[in-house]
Amino acid sequence: MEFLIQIIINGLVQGSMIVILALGLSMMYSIIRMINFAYGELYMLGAYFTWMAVTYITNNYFFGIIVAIVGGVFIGFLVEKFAFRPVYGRARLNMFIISLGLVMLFQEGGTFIWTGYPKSLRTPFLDPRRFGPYVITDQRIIVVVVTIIAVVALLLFLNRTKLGTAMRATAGNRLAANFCGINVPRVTSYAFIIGTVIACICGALIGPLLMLFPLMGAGMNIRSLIVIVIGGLGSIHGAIIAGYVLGMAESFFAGYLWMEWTSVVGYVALVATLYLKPTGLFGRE
Amino acid sequence: MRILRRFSTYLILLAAAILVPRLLSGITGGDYYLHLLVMISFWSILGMSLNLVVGFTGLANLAHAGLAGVGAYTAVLLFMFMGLPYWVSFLAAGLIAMLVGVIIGLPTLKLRGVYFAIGTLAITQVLSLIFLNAMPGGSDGVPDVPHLTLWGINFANKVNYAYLFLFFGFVVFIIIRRVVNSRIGRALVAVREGADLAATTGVNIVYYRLLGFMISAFIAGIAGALYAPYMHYTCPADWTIAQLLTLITMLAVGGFGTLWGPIVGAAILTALPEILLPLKDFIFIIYGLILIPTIIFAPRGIMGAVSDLMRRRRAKRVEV
Repeated sequence: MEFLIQIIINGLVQGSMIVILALGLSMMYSIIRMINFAYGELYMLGAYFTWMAVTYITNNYFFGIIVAIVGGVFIGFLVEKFAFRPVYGRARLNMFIISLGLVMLFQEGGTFIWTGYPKSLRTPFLDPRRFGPYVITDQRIIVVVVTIIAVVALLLFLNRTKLGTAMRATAGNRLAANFCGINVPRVTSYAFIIGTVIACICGALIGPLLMLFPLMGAGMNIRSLIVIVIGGLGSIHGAIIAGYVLGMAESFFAGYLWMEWTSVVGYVALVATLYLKPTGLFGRE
Repeated sequence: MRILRRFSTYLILLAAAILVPRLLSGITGGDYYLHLLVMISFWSILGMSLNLVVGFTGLANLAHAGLAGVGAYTAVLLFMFMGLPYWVSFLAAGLIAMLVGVIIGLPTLKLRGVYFAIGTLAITQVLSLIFLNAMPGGSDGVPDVPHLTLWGINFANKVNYAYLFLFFGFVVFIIIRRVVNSRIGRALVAVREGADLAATTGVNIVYYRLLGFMISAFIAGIAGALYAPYMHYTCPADWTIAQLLTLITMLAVGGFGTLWGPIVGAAILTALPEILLPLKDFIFIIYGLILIPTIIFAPRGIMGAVSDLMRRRRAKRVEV
């Protein structure tokens, strides 16, 4: 029983990690209608920005998070402007290949700058806390709480603000949004920046729980991809539900079955979704 | 005579393909150049088959390296561990890679391109996991893969391998050329340029996409089955997303959707790390820096530029 509850707690944390990552990817997908395969690398950059700030400037984790956010704004702006914007009018395949180029650039660039050796990011919240028989670190509680805040904030932003409405309009139909007087390129840029900042915050929050290495983004990228497909591409609600379900499933699989095959859970779920209901839980089209 | 003129390019290339390995084997340090020749042929074979899916069909395929790995491991398992004749394991390698391709292609090719991209990425990761955890050798790979013995020839030296790879490169080129200039190729390009229009004019989109992907996967499997005995070795790290990124960069440099593009790209990108030896460890930074501007400024690559140039010259000649 205690083991079961511990596994449920782990699943909740795992699910939160996937959900908060998937939010940014889903946002980028909605606006460019192509998966940004370099999304995991943005997460990696966020983690390393935090690490750099904490190691070289001042040993304050909150300052590190702010550095990650500022770095995310810059990277998101640059990537959108110089890599993706030139190919918007063309076949989507071009965007796909550009994102693969970014994967190479960021992964090897990261190895070049920070070497391939794993680094650990220390925060003041890593001491385990006991609730009766259950163990959880503050960092994990922070991840869960921040995920909930991020979900609520993003939904409020998209549904209640002018810019959010403009983003939904652009995601729905670029041409029509343009006719309505929406500055489509600027909205696209903002959406990209928000997605990148989410990825970088994830890096700052989740990085301390795992090790930092230049390829750390790949696995997370695939998980968030799987989640947004299962939830239905472009649907934020779907991604949230699918993310928590996948987190729980992985946690149970790792706890009761074979640890080294854990990532297969996601792939099986993905292939099953593609065969049975390719539009996902909440997808249209 | 006309037939000679029509095929003159191919005849010259054929003569070169017969002579060059022999000549290279004579000079000192020739083995190194023979190795480069084999590698260029290997990457060309993979590139040409990937080009059928990415260049001509316009689909985002991330599984190609994984499928080649399926071919390599199938061949090694059948040939080395089960003792089947090489040519049987060779064909089986192609067929099993094709089967894996069908498994992932069948559900995703009906949908928008994004799903195919995600599906192929997932299958690459699953294949890596299988190579790592379920195949002999694990992450260390399978050492001492025996050299080939085909048609009574033992392929223990590099010259014979160079001939073998050139032969298969040639065959694959002919196949791709034949496919592209046939009904299938025209259907694929029509689907790429406008899927809805192609569908309304009676092209069965899923059928042709799947056919193109199956041909491509079969060739990938065979390329993998050739590579493992040549390298004497195969390991999971040979067949990851990194190889796919290399392939995509090759195609972009040479030109997507052109017949010669993959070969030109393979030649340039195989030579590049050898020239930039001090930067060899970080070659992917250079690939990234090449790939992104190429896609933005010259989406049809070198061969696209060449064919534009030739068309302009021909047009000028007509004017005069």
